[in-house]
Amino acid sequence: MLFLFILLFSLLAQFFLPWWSIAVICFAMAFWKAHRGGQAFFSGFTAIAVTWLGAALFWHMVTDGILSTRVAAMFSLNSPWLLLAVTVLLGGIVGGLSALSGFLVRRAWRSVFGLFSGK
Amino acid sequence: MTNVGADVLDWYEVKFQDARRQGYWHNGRLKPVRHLIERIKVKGGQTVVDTVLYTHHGPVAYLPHEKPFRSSSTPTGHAIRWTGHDTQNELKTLYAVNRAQTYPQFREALKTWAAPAFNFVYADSQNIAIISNGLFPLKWPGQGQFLLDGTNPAHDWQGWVPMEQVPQVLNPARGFVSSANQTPVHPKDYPYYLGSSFAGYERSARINQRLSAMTQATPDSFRRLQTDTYSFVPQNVLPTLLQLIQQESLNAKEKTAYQTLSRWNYFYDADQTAPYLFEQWWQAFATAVWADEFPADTFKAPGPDRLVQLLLHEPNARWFDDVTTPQKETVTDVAATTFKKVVENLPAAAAQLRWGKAKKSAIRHLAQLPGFGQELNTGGSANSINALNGSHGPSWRMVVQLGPQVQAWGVFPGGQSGNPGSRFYDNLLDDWQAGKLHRLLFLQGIDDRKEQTGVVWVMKGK
Repeated sequence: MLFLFILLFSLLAQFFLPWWSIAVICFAMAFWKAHRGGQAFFSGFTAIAVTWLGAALFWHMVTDGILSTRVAAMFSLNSPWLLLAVTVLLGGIVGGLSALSGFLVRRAWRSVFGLFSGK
Repeated sequence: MTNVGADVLDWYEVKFQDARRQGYWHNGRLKPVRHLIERIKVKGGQTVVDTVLYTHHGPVAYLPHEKPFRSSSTPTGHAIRWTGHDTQNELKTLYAVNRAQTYPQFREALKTWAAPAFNFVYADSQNIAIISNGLFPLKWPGQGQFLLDGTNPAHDWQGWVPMEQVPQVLNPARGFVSSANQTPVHPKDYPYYLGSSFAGYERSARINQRLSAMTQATPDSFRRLQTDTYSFVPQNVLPTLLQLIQQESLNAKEKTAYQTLSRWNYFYDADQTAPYLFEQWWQAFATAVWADEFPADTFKAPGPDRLVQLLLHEPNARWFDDVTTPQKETVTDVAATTFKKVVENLPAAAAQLRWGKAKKSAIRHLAQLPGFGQELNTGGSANSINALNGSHGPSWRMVVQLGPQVQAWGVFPGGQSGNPGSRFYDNLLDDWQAGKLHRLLFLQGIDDRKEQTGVVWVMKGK
């Protein structure tokens, strides 16, 4: 469920907002929906990885691989597929860590809240 | 149109009245300095305010105490006199050239063209002509080779070469006109001094040699002429250089290099190794001759013509001696040492010696992004007709056949699209490297739809 929420909202957000909006969305979604740390990280990682994989594949396809080959060469990589893997990994890490942070902040906030309310 | 290398920019040392620089001395009198405030807006930053001082010579590039951006070539406290600052009407020339019906009308149209001076080539169904056209200051021979005295009225430009008297030729007996940025006139045949640092004569000499030999020329003859890689530089100096080498003193590697050079036909072809050997040697030779007297960071060494002259005609010149050593070096010593040093430092892999790769020509992205440009593997040299050298080269190639129907062929090293993801980003590059040309569309009227016509736009008024 968390995965689907992140996927949907981050996909929409990236059409209009800068790339780092994914971090805010992962954070907020996990803050709201995550049950466990592992689940939060995994959902954020895979959801962002899927959107970035989609975007990277799209640009690879519509330019017949020309653009991804050039950008790969710019980063001293000799294969566009390696560039694709790095892209997916980077997006995934940003998504995963943001979602994990969202979950951990909520947990910390709850324990503080719990302390104040005397529970 | 190609550039004329005439000297139309001079530096005048300005003697200011005092530190406030409200006046300057000229012809024994104080003249007012005009202070012009330039405001240069910076995006996201503070506007830069720059006060530019103007004398009658022109703007002062740097005040005496300022540090120039390019300190080795820009004098401080000097005013720039440049034809580019004069008001003229170049657009009017282009407008009138496009509407000229006859040669006299074409000539008339050029008279409002000041700068930059261009070699204008003219052809109609009966006539051919070339005019090195622009605003040329009247100077004494050599004026402006060195810094001029801004207080001395004799150093001022004294007027202009009359526009009717710029270098020109109409229907020459040899049957063709040509230019490769070389000096358009021989100083003995032309009364006015134009400048002293034109492009070398070698490219135009080769063009003229090929054109003189052509009979029944077709557009394809000119296409092939454009990628000619021959150079007069090695033809002029290499036999003399090789004679200076004692063959008995060479080791095996040096002998091979020597033989490669002595068998060379002076074509800078991509698969040859001799061009790289020669270029390295000639460069090392020039450095060895000049660098001791003219260190590169503070001096501009004499030009390549002077070096050729020294080697061929003044072998005992004092310039061959390295003044930093106690011994007395001769031209033979310089040739032998530089040859051995170059051979010793050659890369081991033969593939790296081939001229196409070794010259390291490339067309780079504006921001030098790797992956967005392309390495080239092609012949040519700075002094060949195919003047490809480093990141510079003959970028726009065109052949036009006049006649009942104008036909033209052309190519440039790149593509129509600036989008690096498009196949039209660099699709013409390979054809350009190979010297192929594409037929250019020249539509004759609104109903002329060539087969390449992909889109038809119809503009409708209200």
